[in-house]
Amino acid sequence: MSEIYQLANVSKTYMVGKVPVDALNGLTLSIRKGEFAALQGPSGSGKSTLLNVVGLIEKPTGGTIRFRDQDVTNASEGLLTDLRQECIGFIFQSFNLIPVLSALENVEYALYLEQKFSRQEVHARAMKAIQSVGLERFAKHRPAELSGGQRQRVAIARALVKEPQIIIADEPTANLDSKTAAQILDLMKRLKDELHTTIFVATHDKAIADMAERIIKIKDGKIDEE
Amino acid sequence: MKKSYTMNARILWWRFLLMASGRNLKRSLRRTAISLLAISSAVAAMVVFQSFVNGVKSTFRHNVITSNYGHYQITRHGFRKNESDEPFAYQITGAAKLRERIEKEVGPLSFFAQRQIFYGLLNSNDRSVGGVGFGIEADEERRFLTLVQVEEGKHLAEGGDLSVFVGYKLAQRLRLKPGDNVTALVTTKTGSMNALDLEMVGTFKTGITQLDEGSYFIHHRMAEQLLKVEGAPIFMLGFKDDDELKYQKKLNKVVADYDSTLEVAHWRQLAEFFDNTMGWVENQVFVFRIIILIIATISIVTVFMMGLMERMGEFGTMRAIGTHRQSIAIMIFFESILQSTLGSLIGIGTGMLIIKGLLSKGITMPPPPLMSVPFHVTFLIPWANIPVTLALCVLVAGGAGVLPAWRMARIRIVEALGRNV
Repeated sequence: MSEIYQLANVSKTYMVGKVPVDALNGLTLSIRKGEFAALQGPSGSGKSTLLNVVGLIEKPTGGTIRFRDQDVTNASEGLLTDLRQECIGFIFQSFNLIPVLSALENVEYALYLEQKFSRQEVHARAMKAIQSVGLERFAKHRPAELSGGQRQRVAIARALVKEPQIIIADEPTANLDSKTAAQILDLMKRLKDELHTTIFVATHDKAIADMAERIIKIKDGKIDEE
Repeated sequence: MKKSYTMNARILWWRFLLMASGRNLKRSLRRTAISLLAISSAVAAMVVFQSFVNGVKSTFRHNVITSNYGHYQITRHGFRKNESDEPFAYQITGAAKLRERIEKEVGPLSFFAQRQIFYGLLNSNDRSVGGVGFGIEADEERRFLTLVQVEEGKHLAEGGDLSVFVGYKLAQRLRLKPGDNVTALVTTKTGSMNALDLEMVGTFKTGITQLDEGSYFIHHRMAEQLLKVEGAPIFMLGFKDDDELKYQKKLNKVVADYDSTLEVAHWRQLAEFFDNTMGWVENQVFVFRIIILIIATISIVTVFMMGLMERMGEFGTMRAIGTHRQSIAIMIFFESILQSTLGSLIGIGTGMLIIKGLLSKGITMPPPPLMSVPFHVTFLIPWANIPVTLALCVLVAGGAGVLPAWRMARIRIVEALGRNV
C-alpha cells in the first residue's frame, strides 16, 4: 500500500495570549492509502490539531506534509481548498450540516461545489448517497427535523458523495447513542470495504478502535504508540 | 492542481448559493425585518423628500411662469442689455400678425400680450413715489398670469381706459384707496415729461415683495399714449400646453422668419434665480441623501454582522469541506443584495403610500425669501427619480454587505468550526 500522507517532523504552535503552546511537537506519521487508522489520545494531546493539519485546514508551523506525493506544506489557500473539496471528506462530531438546506441539498452542496457536474448528475449522485445511508425518506427534511443519528448519516453521505480519497472523522459517534453509533460504524466499514477509502478517525469509542486496522496514540503532540 | 470549471456548473453553483442566500434571509425573520426596516425607512424618506422637492420645483416653476414671464418672451436683439440706456429703441409692432403666425405654425396659445415697462412717479395725496409701471393687455394677461391677485377693489381688466392697478404696499405708501385719483408722471420717448390722470381701481398682491412695494399696471394702449410710443418692447406668450419646451425650436424659427432682429427667450433664461434656487434645494437633497444612506448603512452593517457572527460555525464548515473564500463572500453578498432590493422596493412602496395618503393634500410652507405669501407644496411622486433611488439604495445597502462578506470569507477555519457546538 502506498502512502497518501507523509508528515515529517510536523509541529504546530499556538499563541495563547503571549504564551506559545506546542500542540504538535515534531510529529512524524505516514498514512497509507485504503487503511482505517484510529487516532487516540487524552484531551489536549493534539488529536484535533493533527486532524486539522491532515485535513489541510491548518498549516503547520514546522516540518513538512506531503499529500499524494505532493508537498503541500506551504501550498496556497486556494490549492488547499481545492484539495479539501476534491480529495477529502470530513465527518464532524457535531454533524455540521447547513441548517437552511435539506438533507439531500446538504449532500448536493458537496457536488455543486466542485462545479463539474450537471444538475441531473448532481441530483442522481446525491440521491444515491442518501439512499446508501438509508435516508431516502428524509431527503427533503432539514437538519432540525432529523435525529442526531440521521444527521450524522447525512454528514457521511455528504463526505462520501464525492468519492474522496480519505475521510477524516472527528469523534463521529460521540454525540450518538450506542445503537445509532453502531449504524454509523457499519456505514464507515462499508465505505472502507466497498470504496477502499482511507479513513482517519479521532475517537475514544472502543468499537471504532476495534474496527481500525491501525491505532495511533498521540501524547503531548507526538506519536506515543502505534 | 489547478481546477477548471465549466460555465454551466458555475452558474448552477451560483444559483445554489442564491437559493441558500434567500433561505438565510427567511431564517432569522426578526433580524431580516430590522434590516428591511432600516433600508425601507431610508428609501421611503428619500422618496418622500424627493417628492417634496419635485412639488417645490413644480409650484415654483408655475409661480415663476405665471408671475412675470409667461413661457417665452419675444424682444429685439440687445433689448435686455441696453434697455436702461435706450428704453424706447426696441419697440416691436405688429403683435396681432405675429400672434397669428405663431398660433398657425407653432401651437395654440393661451395668451399673447404686449408689455411696456417704464419708470416714473405716481403722485397722490401730496405724496410722490417712484415705481415701475407696466403697460399691459390686462384681459390677455389675466387669462394666464395668475400671480397677480386682487387685494382690494377690482382688476385692471374691469376698469376703464384711465385705470391704474397698484401694488398693495405701494398703495399703502401713497395712502390710496380704490376710486382715488392718481397721476403718473413719466419721461416720454422724445425726452419730454408727460402725465396722465388715472383712477385707482384696485390693489394687487403678488407675494413678490419687489412688485407689491413698487409697481403698478395701466392699460397698454394708455401706456402707448403716455410714453408716445407704438407697440411694446416685450411680447409675452404662453402656450395652452404647459410642456412649452416642445415648441421652442419651431417658435425660434417662426419668430426669426418674421423679423430677424427679434429673439425668443425661454422663461428660465429670464428667471436665473429659478436655477439657482433649485440648485440650492437639490444640494440639500444630496446632503440629506448622504446622511440617510450613512445612517442606514451603519444600521445594516451592524445587524448583518450580528447575524453572520451567529453563523460563523457554518462558514467554518463550508470552508472546511472545500468552499472557496470567494463563494462565501458571494453568498453573503447575494443575501445583502436580496435584502437591499427587497427593502428598497418596500421603501418605495411605503414612500408612495405616504405621499398618496398622509401627504395627499400637500403642505403649506412659510413664504420663501423675497415673497410674502405662503407657498403651498403638493407632493409629486418622483417617477423619474425612482429608478435612480432604487439603484442607489440597492447599491449602497447591498454594498454594506461587502465588509461583512470579506470578513467572513477570511475567518480562520478552525476557529469558526469551534462555534459549531
